[in-house]
Amino acid sequence: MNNKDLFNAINDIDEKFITDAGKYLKDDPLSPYEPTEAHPAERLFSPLKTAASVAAAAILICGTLFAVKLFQPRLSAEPSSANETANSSETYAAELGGAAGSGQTNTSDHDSAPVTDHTSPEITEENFEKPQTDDNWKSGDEPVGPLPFTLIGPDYQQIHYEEITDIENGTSKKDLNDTNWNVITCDGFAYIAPATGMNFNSADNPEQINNIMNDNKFENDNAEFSRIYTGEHYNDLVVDSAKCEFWRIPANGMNERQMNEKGFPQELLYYGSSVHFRGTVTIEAYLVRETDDSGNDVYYIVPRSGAAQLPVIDIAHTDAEKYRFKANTSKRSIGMFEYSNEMPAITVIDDIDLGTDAFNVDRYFSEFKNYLKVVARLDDIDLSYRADRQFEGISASVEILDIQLSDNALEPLKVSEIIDDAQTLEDLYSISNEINDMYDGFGNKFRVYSNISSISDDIIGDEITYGELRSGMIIAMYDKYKKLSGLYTYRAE
Amino acid sequence: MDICVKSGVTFMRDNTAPENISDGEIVELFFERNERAIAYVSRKYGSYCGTVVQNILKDPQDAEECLNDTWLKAWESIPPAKPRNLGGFLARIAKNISLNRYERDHAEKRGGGEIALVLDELAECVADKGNVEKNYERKILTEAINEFLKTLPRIKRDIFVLRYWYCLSAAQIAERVGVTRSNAAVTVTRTRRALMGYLEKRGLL
Repeated sequence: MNNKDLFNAINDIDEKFITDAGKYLKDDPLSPYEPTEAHPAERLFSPLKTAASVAAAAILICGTLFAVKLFQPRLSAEPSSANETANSSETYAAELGGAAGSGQTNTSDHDSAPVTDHTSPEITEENFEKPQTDDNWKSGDEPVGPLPFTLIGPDYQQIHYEEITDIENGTSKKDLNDTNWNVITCDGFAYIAPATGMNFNSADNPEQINNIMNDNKFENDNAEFSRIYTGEHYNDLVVDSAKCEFWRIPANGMNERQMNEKGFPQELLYYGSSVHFRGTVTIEAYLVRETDDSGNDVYYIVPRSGAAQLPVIDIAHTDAEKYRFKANTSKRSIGMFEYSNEMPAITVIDDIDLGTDAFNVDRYFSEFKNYLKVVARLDDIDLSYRADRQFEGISASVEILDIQLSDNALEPLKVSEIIDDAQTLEDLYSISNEINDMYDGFGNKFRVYSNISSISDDIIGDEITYGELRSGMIIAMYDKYKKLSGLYTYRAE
Repeated sequence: MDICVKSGVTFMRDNTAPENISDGEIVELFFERNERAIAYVSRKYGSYCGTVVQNILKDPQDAEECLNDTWLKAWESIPPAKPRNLGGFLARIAKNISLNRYERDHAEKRGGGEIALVLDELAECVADKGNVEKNYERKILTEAINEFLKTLPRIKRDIFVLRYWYCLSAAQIAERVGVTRSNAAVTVTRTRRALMGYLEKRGLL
């Protein structure tokens, strides 16, 4: 068999798979085929077709009228006073179960970033740039200055003609009005907010993370989005490319019900940004391993508490209908590792098998632990946010990964109570049956015993996995020199 | 209405065709030998099949011709064929016609483009594996691939199919699916390797 055979075999796959994936090509299944003189690439790849456009126009004419009404007072973006900042932090700490009080404060470079009062971040008449009229067009073909209709990004600033690099469907800038476009692209800048250090995880902040997970209180109202342009710096990183988009209708031709389900406002305009950084950033983090449904391992970098080095790009849509651009926050469990961050975990994109290639990290993971404390130097950093995102939006390559072995020494995770009256293996044999030996990633050997009465016959002799541990099992832990280092009973939580 | 005569069949590109016409109604028109069927499929599936063709044949004129050939082939095939999934049926025709055209154009020299890249990538799955009977039926391999695809989460499956069936580049997949280019590329690589493992386990490699 050669690659051609495989190609041909793939060519014959089930039509369902073809049509499923084909949905990404058919933005509108009823989109007309137009054999015109237009450039074929435009015709063949045009993501928004007439039918959708007509429907969208109807929605958005209304939406735009409504939006104009909404563009009322915008709060001043002046930095707040020190008191306001302190109050904001206190409230925040209280919501998070006392993070500030327990010394878990942010130590990132962006602590000192001005905290803006976003209790009402809307637009005021005086701050909102007046739409331009024909009179302030520059001489020449291309108009300049603010657009004649409302189009703002998360920095609450009006988009200008000269910032637009592409208008889908070929509408010229001169003819642009509030209804004759679908997608406006501004290549050259993106919207980001400095990280505030709101990172919590089950390893560093077990109490806070419990509160967050249980009480559902984790928001970042303080994020202040601004533009970052190609060539600008963010700490030591340089923006290689940046782009943002505005959509008059949500992506993928969603209907009204789908829009509502996703929480999209009808008048969604700011659609997303993407930034690619040149340079490296070193981050104290946890490397977390997740095994997906297909058995493939995916690795994430989750910054340690207070160690956020990358900006926030995700927008929460809940208040977008009021043109409040609030930072989105992530809350997620990856196996036993839970985290809640103001930015999603960073997906490690290296096209390498971390278990066997460059970093050989898999040996450090164990049945007991799917995360490692690391210092990672990241490059090829890509941040993206789109309103219809299906993937988390930060990815990076790992250039250097320093696994902090001393910090990763295996703790008796979910194992407790040294059995004082069973100090030797012989003692254990007298009260239990051996089941299996287990090894963690550090050469420590586990021998799992159980009270005979607490284990069913069908488990004996099987390989024990973490999930099969039951309360009452007794575990003997050996160090790498095969010396018995402790006896534990397992206590289910 | 545009009219195009090809192999004796008059194609009517009727942009006033009803937008809500169902696939079943279009197939019925084919069975009635009503040439409006062509107008309707070209309106309903022109953009979709056009993308399939365009990703294989970069030349716009070739793509246009292949698209016309697709409608003609559909006209010749229905009846007797009665596709339940008209979109998939047409896309498959479009792809096969485009591949034939591609092979004809590259008979002497394998050129660049996504097809060449896709073939190169797939070579990784079969490289240095000489332990497969040469005449192993393509059908069995396809069935195994179908089974493998069923095990994948929907999004990964779609990305894989976009790459290896539709021959989209990582950048195009990223744009379409709404992920970063890196995410798309890594997903493709990992899924391809998972496929290799899957086929190996079943003794197909």
